[in-house]
Amino acid sequence: MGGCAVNWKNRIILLFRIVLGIVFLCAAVPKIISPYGFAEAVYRYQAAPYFMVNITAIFLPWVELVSGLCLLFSKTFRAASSLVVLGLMIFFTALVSVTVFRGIDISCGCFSVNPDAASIGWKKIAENTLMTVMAVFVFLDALKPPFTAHSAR
Amino acid sequence: MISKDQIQDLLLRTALLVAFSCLLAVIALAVHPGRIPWIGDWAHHVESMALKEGIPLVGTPEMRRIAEAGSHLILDARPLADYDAGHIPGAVPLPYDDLDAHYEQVRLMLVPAQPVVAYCSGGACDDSLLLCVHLRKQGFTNVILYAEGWAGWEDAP
Repeated sequence: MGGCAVNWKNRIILLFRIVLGIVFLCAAVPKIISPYGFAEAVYRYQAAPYFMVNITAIFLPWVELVSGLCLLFSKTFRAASSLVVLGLMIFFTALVSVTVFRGIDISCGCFSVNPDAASIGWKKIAENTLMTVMAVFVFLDALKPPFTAHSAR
Repeated sequence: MISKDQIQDLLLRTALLVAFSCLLAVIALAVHPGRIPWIGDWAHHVESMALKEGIPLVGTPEMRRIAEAGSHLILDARPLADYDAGHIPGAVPLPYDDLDAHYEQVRLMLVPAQPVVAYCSGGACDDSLLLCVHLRKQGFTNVILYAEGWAGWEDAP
């Protein structure tokens, strides 16, 4: 009975991990293809100082891509990638919430750099909050010993 | 309970992951056909985009003259709540975030050669620029942009 519950819990965590990994991969690719488009999306949030707009647009998609890949395929970097994913999800949720609260009407720039894509709103905040909760579970699971190759030996 | 060693190990791996990502980003930037500079001129983004689109710009002193003379139809591209909180005298609301709902009403005031000036919040706001581009596509040729927007209007002595 207890073993069955643990099995189900593991399956749910695995599902969360796969969903987050795929979401991060899908989010990274359009930004990598169009760095200028993503820089414009960053600019429209009116949150980053101007000198940080391009730097964010250059580095962030690659952090998303590598984290997504490691979350899906790496045991060695699973805890590290889940920590990065959790940190990014907390940051994105806070950023979108503050932007909606400030009344800035922009597209998300999350999966598309098209400025005419659907605007951010409460639905996006709810989606991000849900993914943040998923990331918390994935991170806590990744922390369970052995959570690194070092401790697994 | 996680030991101090495990926390150090986790932080080290996280740093390695981020550093590797940044290295890939630098390599990708070097070979990307659409590469961007490390630091862009975002402070004048709206103005440079307007010039690229061929939309003339107007500064605050000229905008004051326009508002006093009533020579142009002044369009406020901000959300209605911002318009209600304060706007340039004589401005008509045409919120870009809800253009479909308000455009037909404003279109009745427009003829193709009608001088029009659009503004929004100023700073990084590009709703007025997008509105100018939209109006030009609709055949209105005499469209200018007040990029300093409401912030510029309020800050001017």
